[in-house]
Amino acid sequence: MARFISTRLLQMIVVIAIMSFIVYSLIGLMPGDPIDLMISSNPRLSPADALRLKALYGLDKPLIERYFAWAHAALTGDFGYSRLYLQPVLNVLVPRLGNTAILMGASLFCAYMLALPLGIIAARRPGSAIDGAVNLVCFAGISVPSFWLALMLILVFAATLGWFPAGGVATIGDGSLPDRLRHLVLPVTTLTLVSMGSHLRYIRAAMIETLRQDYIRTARAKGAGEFRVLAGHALRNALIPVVTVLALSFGNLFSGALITETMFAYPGMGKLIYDSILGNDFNLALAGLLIATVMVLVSNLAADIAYAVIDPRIAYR
Amino acid sequence: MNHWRDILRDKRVAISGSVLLFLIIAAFGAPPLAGLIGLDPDMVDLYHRLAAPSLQHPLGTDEIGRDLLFRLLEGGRVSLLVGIVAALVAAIFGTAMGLIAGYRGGRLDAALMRFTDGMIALPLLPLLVVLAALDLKKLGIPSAIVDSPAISIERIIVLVALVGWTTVARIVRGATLSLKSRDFVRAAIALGATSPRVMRVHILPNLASPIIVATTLAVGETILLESVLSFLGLGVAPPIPSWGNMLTTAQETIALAPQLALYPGLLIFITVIACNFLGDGLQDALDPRAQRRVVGEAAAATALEKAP
Repeated sequence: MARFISTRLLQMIVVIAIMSFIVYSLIGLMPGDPIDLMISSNPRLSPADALRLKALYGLDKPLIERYFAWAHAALTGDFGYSRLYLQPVLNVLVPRLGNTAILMGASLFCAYMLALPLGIIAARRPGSAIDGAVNLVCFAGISVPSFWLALMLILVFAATLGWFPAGGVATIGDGSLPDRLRHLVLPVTTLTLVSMGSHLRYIRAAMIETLRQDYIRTARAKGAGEFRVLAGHALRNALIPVVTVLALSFGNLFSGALITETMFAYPGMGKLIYDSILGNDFNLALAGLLIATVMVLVSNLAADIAYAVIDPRIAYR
Repeated sequence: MNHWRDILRDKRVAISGSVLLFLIIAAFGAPPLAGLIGLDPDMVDLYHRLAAPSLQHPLGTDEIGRDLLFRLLEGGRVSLLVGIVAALVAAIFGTAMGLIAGYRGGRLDAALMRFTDGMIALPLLPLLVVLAALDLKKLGIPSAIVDSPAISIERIIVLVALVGWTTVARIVRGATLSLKSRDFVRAAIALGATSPRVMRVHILPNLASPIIVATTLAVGETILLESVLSFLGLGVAPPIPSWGNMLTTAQETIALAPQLALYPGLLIFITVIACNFLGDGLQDALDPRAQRRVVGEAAAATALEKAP
């Protein structure tokens, strides 16, 4: 087990190194140049001054050299300075991570609270009318454009009915818990609806597979009640593949939801990455993208380990 | 031909197929029809902005007085074109890669699998935003191409195909691996068929079903990606209409004219759900024994926030 984890950790570090280089090169291909941006507001700087500034920041060196300089600083926790927020990158990122974790955690929780019972009901009679209806819900959730769903929710529940605020995390001057929760309702609803479908399909498929097993027939033959069969015997085994999918989605707890956060002006990681890319804030975009990638990779590893721990039939390689 | 009748007997395939066919005919038939009855869909009429539905304008007019129905059909033509072309490009490239990797195995196969693993780990939407914002001139692409009006459509097709091919490659590779050890393939090899011939004549035709299914599902995913990027102003650029960028402008007038925001989104929704149902139905009809590719699988694996 220790060997399995250490090999996977090593692989992950290699992937992170490659990914960080790719992202670093891509950011370099964005329009604009950090020095040009810096001096555009100062007409007294001459081209010679610009060249000196480039040398000062090491921008005249080849890509590989710049990457290693950046990576070296990043490893010591220095991701540079954010151009948009005029603060060190980490000071900007950390509060956003918390906001995103709240939003995504709440959505994941709601999605499972809905998907678990629906998936179990649908799996009891595959092909029935109930199954068909649940299937329609799944496909609708998978197929709806989330930005449009967000727009419609804002139109109906914020603009027309006025039940919930259209965006932000809290009303200015009112940071109380009920106020914050009211701000979460619409973004969490959007994310729950769009993400529920795929989780639901996994749960339904796993339950159908489990309900076919002999030990379910044995449990029924011994006279176990329907609830006991479903909750006690079937669900526990059906959850094995579901836990992996769940662990995989933990990575997104911190990479955030770019569209939903942007639509609801929610200050999370997704909106931060989007704003920093559009605002030419290279340092911030780079750090944000990397943290998002690392989180996904870590949760993939966690999923593999969880799978191996839950199901002893899996051999570690 | 009986085969096709069986496939069409599946309700999902029949209904979603007809819906898609209707949308395609309407979207691609609209411009010639507009010319025939002497209507100019791009005609601006500032006296009749945001007009209510009437005989002349069945769905009313948009914020600068253009006929909304024709605008929607024109936008649909672009969205459907981008979706279908990008999915086909991704399918062709993915099939070639998956076929060669699965058949040859070895280092190429290992490299391909590691690469697709890496692609799945990347946060898709932020990556697409970066790619869409890249300065093409810094990549050394001649400015004659970069400044042409169709560049926004070409760029989005390339981008979406670039992130989409790995799904097809994985499916094709898996199917190739299992076909490779089947008797008829081994017999062909024993009879002296060359590798390209085995791949082309013996393996590729047997891959038709999974490829058709994967491509159908990819069309839906592609239309979603196109719409979201265009909505953010990074995809198809105005004045060329697409369902995504029509929603960007509709957002500004949403208090005055909510219908402008309702219809394009509804059409995206209907098109994508039809693609997904068609893919799902075709899967059952063409390939009932094959391991099912769960619709939205990528969505569950990579995302709470799926691509859009």
